[in-house]
Amino acid sequence: MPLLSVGAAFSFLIMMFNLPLPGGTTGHAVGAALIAILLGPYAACISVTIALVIQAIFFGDGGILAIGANTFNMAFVMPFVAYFLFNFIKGNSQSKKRTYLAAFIAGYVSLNIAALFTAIEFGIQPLLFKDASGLPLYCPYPVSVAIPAMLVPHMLVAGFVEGFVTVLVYGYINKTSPDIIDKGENFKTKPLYGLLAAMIVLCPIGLLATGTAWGEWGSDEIRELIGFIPKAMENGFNFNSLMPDYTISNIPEVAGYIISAVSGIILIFITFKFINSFKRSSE
Amino acid sequence: MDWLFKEDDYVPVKDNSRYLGKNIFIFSEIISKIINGVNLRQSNSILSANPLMRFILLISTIILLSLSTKVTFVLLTDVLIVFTVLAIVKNNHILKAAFTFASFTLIMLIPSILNGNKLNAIIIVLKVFGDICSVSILTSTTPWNDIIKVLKFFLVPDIFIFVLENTLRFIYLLSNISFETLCALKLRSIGKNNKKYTNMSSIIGNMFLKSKNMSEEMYYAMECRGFTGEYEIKTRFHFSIADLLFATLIVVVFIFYFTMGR
Amino acid sequence: MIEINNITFEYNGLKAIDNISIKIEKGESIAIIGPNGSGKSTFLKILNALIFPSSGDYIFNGEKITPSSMNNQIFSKKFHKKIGFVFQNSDSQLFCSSVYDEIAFGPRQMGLSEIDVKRRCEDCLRLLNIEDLKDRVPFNLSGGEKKRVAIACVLSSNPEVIVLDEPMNGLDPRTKRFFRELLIKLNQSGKTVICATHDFEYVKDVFKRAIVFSKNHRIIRDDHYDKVINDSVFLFENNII
Repeated sequence: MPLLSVGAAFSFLIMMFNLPLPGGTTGHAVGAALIAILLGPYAACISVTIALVIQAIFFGDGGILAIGANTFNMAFVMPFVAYFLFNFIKGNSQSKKRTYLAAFIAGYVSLNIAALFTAIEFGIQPLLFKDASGLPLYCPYPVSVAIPAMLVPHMLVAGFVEGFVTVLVYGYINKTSPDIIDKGENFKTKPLYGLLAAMIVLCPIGLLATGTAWGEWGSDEIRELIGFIPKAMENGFNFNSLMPDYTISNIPEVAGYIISAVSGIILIFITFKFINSFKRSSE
Repeated sequence: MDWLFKEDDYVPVKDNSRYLGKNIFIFSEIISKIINGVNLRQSNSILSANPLMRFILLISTIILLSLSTKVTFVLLTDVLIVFTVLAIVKNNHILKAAFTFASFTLIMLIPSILNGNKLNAIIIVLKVFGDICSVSILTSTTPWNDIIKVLKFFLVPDIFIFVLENTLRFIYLLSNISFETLCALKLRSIGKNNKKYTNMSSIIGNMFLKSKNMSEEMYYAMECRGFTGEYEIKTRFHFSIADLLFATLIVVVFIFYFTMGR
Repeated sequence: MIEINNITFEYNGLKAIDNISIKIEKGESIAIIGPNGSGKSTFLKILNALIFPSSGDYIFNGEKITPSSMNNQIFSKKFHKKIGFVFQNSDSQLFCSSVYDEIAFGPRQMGLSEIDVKRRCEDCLRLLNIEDLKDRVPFNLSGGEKKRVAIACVLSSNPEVIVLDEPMNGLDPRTKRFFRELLIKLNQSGKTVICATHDFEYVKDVFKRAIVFSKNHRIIRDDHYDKVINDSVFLFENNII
């Protein structure tokens, strides 16, 4: 049981590590794939759920109603996909290369599948929730826009970050203390199975039933949707005191934000145009 | 050994390590947020009352806000929330943060607005603003452990609450360790580092190994203190006049919603 | 070499350092003494430009250290190269996957050839007497071994100033004696040594100067080390012994 607290704390903190990306910005990994490989998918599921709950309530940028959908994507879909993919590719092979390749692919693919689920959840909102005149109430972008808008940045950038973090951390732990990596049988939490089952059932229901307002989604998805892969805004900050009340002015980072915002909008525009012209030509 | 006893004539080459500064900032922010959040003590008697009522008020506000399709209701709720922030909480950071996120949302909606979906876009932006403000009001006025204990009223098992409380504690402990390591990495980054991903991954890996140790130690410590697997949380929430105020507010919000929000 | 003029550091309205001024010349060996919470650690962090004073100036080798000057990455790296910091908790200082890589981290970044890197690493391993730990993982070494690795990895980039935060904490007497000899050797070879310490027994003859912080975060004495350490009335009155 302490393992769950620590696992949750660990998965919360992985998301806080920002890695440098080409072009001077940074990106972070979700870590669900890594935890699934290290601790097994059930422990990963619970750990990431708790991490997301704490993130939404205490470090939140809103997103309380979206916990259901978020956990479904990042705490359920992602670790299970990663775990099975990892074991499928690795097989019974003892080869280091193959194991590391499996870890990378597990990270890359599971993140993209989670992003795909998120995009579909965004995308079906305009179908489900409309106002009297038929205009979408929440997320205004249909599946055909949401999927490329989510997947392009994930496939090109975020997926690689996830993959590299997964393989490098796995490699480090495999090298330093190989005995603590999950062998598939050492996780017993009977009392938590009920909770787990409830979550697995409740997540999709909650997702469809609450009619989650788009803006209620975690800020992360919002920014990712428009290409805001960089997370915080304090690049180049020289930490000055442990307490808040800081004032930072940093021009390059602001410029980076504007550039990524603009490119995100352009991406959405292009998709719009493309789909419209496609529709017209098919009519 | 001679190199150690004479000065190097060394000029660093260019290499971007700004991400370290950013990471150090993020971790210092987590640490300070937890310290502030856990140590919150209110002098204001309204805010020191039962967190349960405030929690219910928060959840109902958020749900009703997201359900509503009427701009008047959303706008009015936002005004009330801003008023609360200015008059009671007195923390301008909340408004700033909410404003930032609302602007992000607005930027994202630009393509949709240009396609003619104007009113709904405005409603969404207002909702984002209201949501973020109201969550921040709760977390900046209520000690965090009290917020977690509120879950008991929603029949969340004690063991889950126990795990949540300890997660906060471990986040604090582990961020302190990572924070120091990141500082060390920054101090030792004196030139061109071609292994940024490897270094960061080792730090994450070390954090994992340390957390593994911590969890084992905690388990032994719990056993030594006679822990049997049962964990009961005692809550002492009294119903006071302030609670009545919040209960009224909850009713008011619902009346608002059903008269003008739907 | 280091000049500190009227520095104050505060957060949330609390002063961690209250208006201190110090001048440190090249080649000095200085003990920073004071009760817990007197601002020693904050002072060491300011020396390493991890934090910046709320008011006052910090001048290193004639150049002002400020958030904006440290924002220049070349300048900041040059600065960090010249001043090495041994953390109190060696766990937080070590992040590579072998002791050798840990020590090679600094020299490799400086763009030295692998031959030079190897020479430096081997010298450091020998100096700290940890040659047989070379291929071990720093993560599960003993406390004393970790401290040796931490010091080796700071020395390998050949800093001019070495700052240590309570290096003797939790070590066995033999290791403490070893570090005492090492600090003397380093100082004799021209390194400036600045060290926060509580452990007076084991640092005999290491320091020539002592700077004493009081519990209200000021410097109350700046004198010859031996004079301070033999003034037991003064030390007792200020909660140091």
